Amino acid sequence: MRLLVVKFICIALAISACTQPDSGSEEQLDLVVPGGFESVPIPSHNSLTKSKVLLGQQLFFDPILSVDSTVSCATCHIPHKFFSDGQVISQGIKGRSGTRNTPSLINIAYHKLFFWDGGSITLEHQIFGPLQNSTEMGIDLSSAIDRLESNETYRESFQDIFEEPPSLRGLTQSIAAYQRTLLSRGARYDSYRAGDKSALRPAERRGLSLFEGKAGCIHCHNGFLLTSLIFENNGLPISRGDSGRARVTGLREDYGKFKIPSLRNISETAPYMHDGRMVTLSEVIEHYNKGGNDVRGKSALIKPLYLNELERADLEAFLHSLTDSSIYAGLEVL
Amino acid sequence: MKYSKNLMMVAAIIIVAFAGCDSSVMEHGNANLTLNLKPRVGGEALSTNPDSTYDVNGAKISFGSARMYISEITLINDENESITISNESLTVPAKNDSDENISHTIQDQVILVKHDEGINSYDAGSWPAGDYQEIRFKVGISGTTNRIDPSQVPAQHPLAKQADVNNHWNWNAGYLFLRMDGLVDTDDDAVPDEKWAIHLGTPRFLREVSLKHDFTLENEKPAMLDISVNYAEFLRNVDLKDPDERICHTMNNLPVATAVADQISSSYQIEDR
Repeated sequence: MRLLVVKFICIALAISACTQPDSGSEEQLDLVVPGGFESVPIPSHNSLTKSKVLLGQQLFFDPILSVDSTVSCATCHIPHKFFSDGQVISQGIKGRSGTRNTPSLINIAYHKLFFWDGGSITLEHQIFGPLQNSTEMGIDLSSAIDRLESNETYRESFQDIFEEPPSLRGLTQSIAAYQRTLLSRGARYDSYRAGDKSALRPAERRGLSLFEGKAGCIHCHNGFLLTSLIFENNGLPISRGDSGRARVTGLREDYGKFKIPSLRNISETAPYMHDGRMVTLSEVIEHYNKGGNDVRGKSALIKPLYLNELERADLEAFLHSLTDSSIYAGLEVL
Repeated sequence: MKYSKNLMMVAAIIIVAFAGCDSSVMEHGNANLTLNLKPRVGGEALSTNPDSTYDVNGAKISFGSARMYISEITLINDENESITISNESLTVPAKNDSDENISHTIQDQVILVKHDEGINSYDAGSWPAGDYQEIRFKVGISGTTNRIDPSQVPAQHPLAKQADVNNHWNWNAGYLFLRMDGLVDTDDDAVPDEKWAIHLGTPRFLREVSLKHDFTLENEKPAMLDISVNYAEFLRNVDLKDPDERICHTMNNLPVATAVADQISSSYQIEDR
């Protein structure tokens, strides 16, 4: 696993050949993204440097940050599963289950709000959630810092990079920096968009037409990430008392809304929905084809699509073309 | 002509320099103000020692944490003018109302009250000397300051993410304006054994406290205002023996959050020295 991750990071950094001077002594990484992608937003307070990314990577994979040292970020965000975990609901420390499906971290740098309900405002701030959640890593922050301080390697790394002992600021900045390097490197869909008409097979091309036309998926799954990143109620009955976005805003109109996920790599990140209730893409397509369920607050966009069997198959075929094959193949080789 | 031009420029500089000074400062100077926030539970002093129990609305309870944010302190002088002061500025990442990333500068004197650490006295900054009739402050954090990223605030600042006791939600943008929790006796054996927690936040529950009190700040003479903070008053309309009222993280229990927020203004009182 460790080799695999190191390889992944090396690839990510290798494509970052372009560098620009930092305000400090170390060069800032300038991440290269596929054509059609926006440049990666890097906050001015957390410049992206190689040493910071490598520290973040080390922390991401280190169970030292869970209360019983059994769970790391990578326990639920597994590289070869596109940084999701394939579970309906992830298990944290002591086999405890949360309430939501683990989202993929690929392209997380582009997100504006974090968690399925957008309850966290920055990638740095988001890190406190799993760290402190009693069903995930369950550690109190002072213990986390104490552990890092008692580890010579971490102590030296923090001092070198942040010029201070291990701190919450350094911890969150480094892990967030690492996560910003987890980027797509393009799918066959992107090649097709770039003009290579042979990149999509006929069924996939028909699926794309449905995606953008009759099925109307593009209303929510648009832009280069194939998500508008807003919050919608897609017609799922509430489960586990999870009211979604309304938990954050307290607004009735946000009841049952969750962040629209990116469809990139969707065929590789089952199960689906915020609670992992759907195992296959065909189940997902069937849900939308019937217009979801008759639930409070359902989006007006969710209505019967009247797709026949062949159309549903074409749509599913298209979704498979969104897989970032270069990452997948690279990881599989390892 | 050249000489008179220079003379006019010097005169203008002198006038501008004098105009830039606050007249009250010129006349009276400044005084450091300390708020002595005395935690009470009814008539008793609050302690977070587990052996210290209190009867609140018929429930025997103990306290674990007892914290709050105080911000936007305003003094009203004897001419009915509102006086505010600016602290050293701090610029941090935040979200605006459209969830766009912005840099936000804070100059307010924010206080994180840690009664659970036995700390009652807090520096409220340097104020113009003079006669005052009222102090106002917010319990909580308002506006964009409540949408900053606490992980990027320098550790010594009261708005920094605290490593020991959470002062900011992990699952939401915003600070815990008022945090109190502990144990409550639910089986009438006089031993508090069930958890209770009331963590109040979000803009709708930001409240202002206004305390009328005549006092004078004298030049370069430290001053202190004694203010009692009555935790029993916060809980006046909450039945902690009721499982439906025992846990409130604001959004999960709006009725209790409302009941507590509505008691905030009456929970603070000036104590005469």
